Amino acid sequence: MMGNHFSIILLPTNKCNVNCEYCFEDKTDDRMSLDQLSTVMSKVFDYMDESSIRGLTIHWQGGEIMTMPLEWFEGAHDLIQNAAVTRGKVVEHGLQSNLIGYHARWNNLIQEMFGNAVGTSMDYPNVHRKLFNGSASDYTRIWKYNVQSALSAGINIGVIAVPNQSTLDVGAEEFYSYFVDEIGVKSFQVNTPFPGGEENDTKKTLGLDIEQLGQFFVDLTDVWLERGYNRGVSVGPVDELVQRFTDGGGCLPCIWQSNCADEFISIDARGFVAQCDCWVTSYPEYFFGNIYENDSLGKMLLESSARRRFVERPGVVIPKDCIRCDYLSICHGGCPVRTYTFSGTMFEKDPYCGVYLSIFRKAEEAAAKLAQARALNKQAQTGSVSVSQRKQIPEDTLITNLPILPSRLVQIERRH
Amino acid sequence: MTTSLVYNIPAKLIETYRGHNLIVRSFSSFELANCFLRADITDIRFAQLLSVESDTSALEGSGEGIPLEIFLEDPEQYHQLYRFVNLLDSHPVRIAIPVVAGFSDAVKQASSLDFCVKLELFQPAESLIDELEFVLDLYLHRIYIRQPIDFFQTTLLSFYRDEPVSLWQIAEENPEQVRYITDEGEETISKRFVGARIEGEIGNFTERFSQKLISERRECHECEFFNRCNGYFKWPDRNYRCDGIKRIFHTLKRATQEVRQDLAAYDALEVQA
Repeated sequence: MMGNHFSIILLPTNKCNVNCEYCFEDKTDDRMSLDQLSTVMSKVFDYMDESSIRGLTIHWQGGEIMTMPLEWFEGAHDLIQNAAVTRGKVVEHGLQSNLIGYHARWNNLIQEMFGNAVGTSMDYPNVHRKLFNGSASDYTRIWKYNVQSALSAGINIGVIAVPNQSTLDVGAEEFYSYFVDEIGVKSFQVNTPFPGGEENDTKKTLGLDIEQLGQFFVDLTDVWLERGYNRGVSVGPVDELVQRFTDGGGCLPCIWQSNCADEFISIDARGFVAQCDCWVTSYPEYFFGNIYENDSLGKMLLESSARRRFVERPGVVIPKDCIRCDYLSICHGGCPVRTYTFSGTMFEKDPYCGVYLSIFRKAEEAAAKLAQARALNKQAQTGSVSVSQRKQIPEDTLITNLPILPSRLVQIERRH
Repeated sequence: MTTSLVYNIPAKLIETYRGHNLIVRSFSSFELANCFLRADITDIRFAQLLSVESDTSALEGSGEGIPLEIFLEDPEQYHQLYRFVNLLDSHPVRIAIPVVAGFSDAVKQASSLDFCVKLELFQPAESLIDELEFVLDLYLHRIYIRQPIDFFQTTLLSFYRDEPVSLWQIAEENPEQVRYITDEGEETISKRFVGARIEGEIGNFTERFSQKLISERRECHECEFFNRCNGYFKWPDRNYRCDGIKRIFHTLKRATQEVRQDLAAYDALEVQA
């Protein structure tokens, strides 16, 4: 059912330490005990056995993951590794945290369990991320301090950013400068906003002008090509798209997988199972079931009418319009949760279709130009390039070796 | 008949043909999975699933590595192909698509999901040639086509290598290599020959048939592509006009020349470097 690799977005806590206005999760105080985690892992491994799957990636998040005690994680790591050895499985871990509760005492665990990498999130300008007893600027100040502390400790930080109207107003250049020059990160990804979870006034304003947002991505691509491409900076999803248009590779984010139902599930602290973290705390009618209450995860997934809707989505959506699209192989109708939260049904194409088209066209054009630059570069090295052709070669690509873009695991959509 | 013959058999005859090279077909993925358990899987060249309605979960964990062909009888059902993506983790998968009106959407969908495609051609009407040329353009020029579409792929390679390969062979209908066993156990050349009366030995049918087309001085007599087609499109109606098919072959031949030129230019750069 899931191929030869399985991924879980695991929320061992539904509790959060901040109060972001646009969060799509409906929070609770529930936490998973180590006994409950043991039960979860046992059923997950059973399912993997039934489906001949050996590899598992656990994307840890919350709630806020760092509200869990460090000791709990040390216990969880041992528990999972021991069970994996016994069951003949290979397990990798990824960590997504707002880093507001980060402290240097987490560093050992981050190194040992998470490959010395953490995914976090921040917007620029930050409008919606707030502390319970503080402003957005307080949040930003603490986040910046903690991120730079983690960077100083040698931890690799990847940031997910969600644009808002202020982002579009300041433009791509300033946006890029904030993350790369001011914060010092080398990897960030831009996700599109959606009004998931309980309604509030902020969520009513999340929808952005499609044309303006598309242009923002186009501009960001130009900035990245000029300032980051040859300097080891990755900007998702543009970098992976350029790779896709260059050699067919590139690891595209979950919103553009052929069907996310084939890729992963999410399990929250209460044991509820749903398609991803965007669904698992907020949409009970889309829960696949409860893993504590079901003996077999495989049976639950097979029999869940909610899951069937996800499985069937591309079959309903693609014939309507997407089959005519040049980028069908990349997009497959886009993200169910974005569609559902804007349209009230998942059986339509992603409302950001126009934005995606702008990004795809730009990435395709960029890949073609980079290929041309490589050819001219080669000619320049052999002395067979004309003066006029030499002028067309961007400074950065002449003579230097072109970088190999960093590869990533499937970029699970992470919480805002 | 040689020992290297491959028999395309219904799964129910798996015991009868034990020890032969086999293509096993069934409407049920469970029956195919069962065959993988019962047969010596080294006998099985590939398996054909004849229905897209079948639940394929049984095939995901069995017969790993055995190539699968899924027959999309009605190309309008192309959206069903999403259900088979997971099979790619354990099997090479090809989608067989009949060339009937609207088939191009199915090809596009299959290619977008990284499936190989085999076009099932009979004697396409002129109205289908336009759609065939559209698909050929996708195959030749679209970056998202990352897997072969046959007969284009093998024909293109045959032009490139200057090694003629017969369309009978590409379509897996060369009776010197493949035999089709009907559900009733009768032996013939391929699915499209079921019920047709073949005079003489099956094994040299194509040779006799193509010689006859030449001796009758039909369209094939002066066709520059005859050494690749061998009259494939003249069955069953020998009066079928091949103008559209020839345009397809011309385009493939031209594309080969373009590929050669591009590679020569690249090689020249390599030498200079």
